[in-house]
Amino acid sequence: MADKILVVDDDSDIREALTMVLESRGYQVVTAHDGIEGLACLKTEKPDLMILDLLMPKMDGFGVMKELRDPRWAEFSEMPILIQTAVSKEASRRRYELETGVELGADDYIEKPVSPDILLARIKKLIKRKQEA
Amino acid sequence: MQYAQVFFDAAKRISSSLSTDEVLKAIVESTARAINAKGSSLLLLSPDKKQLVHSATYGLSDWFIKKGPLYADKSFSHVLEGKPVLVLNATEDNNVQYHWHMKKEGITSILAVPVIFENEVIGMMRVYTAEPRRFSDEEISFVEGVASLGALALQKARLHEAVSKDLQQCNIDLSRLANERQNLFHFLSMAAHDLKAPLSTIQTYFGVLLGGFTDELSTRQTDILERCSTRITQLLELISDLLDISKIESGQVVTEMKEVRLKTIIDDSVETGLTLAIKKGVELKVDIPKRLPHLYGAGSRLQNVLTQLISNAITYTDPGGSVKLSIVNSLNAVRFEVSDTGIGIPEEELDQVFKEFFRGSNVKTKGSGLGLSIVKGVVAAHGGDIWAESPCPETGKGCKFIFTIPKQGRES
Repeated sequence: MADKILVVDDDSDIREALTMVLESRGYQVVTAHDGIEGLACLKTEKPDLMILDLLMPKMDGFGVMKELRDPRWAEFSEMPILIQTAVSKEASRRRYELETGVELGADDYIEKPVSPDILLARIKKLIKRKQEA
Repeated sequence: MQYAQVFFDAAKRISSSLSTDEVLKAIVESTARAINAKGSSLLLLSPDKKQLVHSATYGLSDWFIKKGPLYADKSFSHVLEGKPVLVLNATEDNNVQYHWHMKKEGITSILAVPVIFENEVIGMMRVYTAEPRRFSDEEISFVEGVASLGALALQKARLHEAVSKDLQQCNIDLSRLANERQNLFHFLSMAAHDLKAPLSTIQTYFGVLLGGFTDELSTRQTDILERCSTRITQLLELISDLLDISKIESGQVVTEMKEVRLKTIIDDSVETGLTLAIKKGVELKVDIPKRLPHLYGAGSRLQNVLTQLISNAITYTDPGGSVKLSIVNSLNAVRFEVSDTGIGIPEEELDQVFKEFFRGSNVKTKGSGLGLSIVKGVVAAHGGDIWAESPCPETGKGCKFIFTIPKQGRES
């Protein structure tokens, strides 16, 4: 069965573009436009990987990462998370550390603008790593 | 002899740190004593010049001092024109204001001399005697002399007040400017972020189109889209530079500092440099000591600085030329040198290369003109220095960029 990827981003054009890229390689794609919808989607869709934007209204990517640390979400602890961010990886990490006092436990970062080839390569690697684990 | 002593004491007090009130009080007291008078006072014109107000007194009762306002009217016209005036019997002189108070206070004669400050009468000094007294010329000169010392004391006080006021205003202006500067960089950073998001989305769509994720494109369409994509990349780089500048200017670099391993920074920069150098056909030489210290700094920023200088050197050096990175680990600082055999920098532009948006007159490649400003900002945030030399002193060719980062960490 095709791997299912959840794309959480408030920019509808980014959701559209990523969906086109991912579907072209046979992935099944579901989307959410903020952190709260993203968490709801996790429960109903049980995706194999999540692409998470950091800056979003309602609940942002930092909020989602914080929420997922709770034991209630233990079933998703092995799910790879690819953070996509408009700011640098360093800055994202530092902000999360400052706010929560813990390291941002994302599996990989991809800086916007997202290049389709790089995105696909990263996803392939993350899913492979998960399957081997 | 006694007069000289009064002058000497007054001058000493003026040059001391005593308050103006204390100085004036001592002046009127010693004047009255030196001249064997009942009392003495120094009166100053009010700002509207309509009244004379007691500034310092000696030998006068509170009742007398508070008798009421003294009007700067024609009864004082002589003094206010700058001439000394002697009133032999003040108690019976209708021209003297409050002359009936004089009797009760036990005053008979009054000597009044002007207090002159920058050629302008600003008040007067009065000496009161219980007995009728004709003051000698010598006594009048003495009181005039003391009055001018009083003016000097007042001048000193006013200058001091003006300077402190100016200083206070300068400090207010300075902090307002700093505030406005912060606001401006905050605005710049907000604007840059808002520009970056839609441009990133456009770039992603270009990636989708050019990556063949939609219908097949003609060669002409691909060519046009690639040109668009290049332009967007340049815009995104400019925005990212602007964001860097506003972060540096708002002091954010300091918050990123921690102990960093210098070797990692250098290795990563050299790796990027080697890729660029091989592509361009330029030789990249390195001269790095085996033992490198840890530094206290913003690791990724320092790496950007070094990568930027190496990449610049390669960009401005023709194929066949060479770029050299040298690191000197001295007692208090690490010195980084990036030299090349490239086009160099015209001498008159050497001090301008770090300015925002500056592009060298001999430079043909495109760029934002912000790279070296960012580099300088990062080095400065670390307490280091950066400068450029052209031609490079060792080879007589190209140019050389040198920067230093002060050491705080331990050797490794």
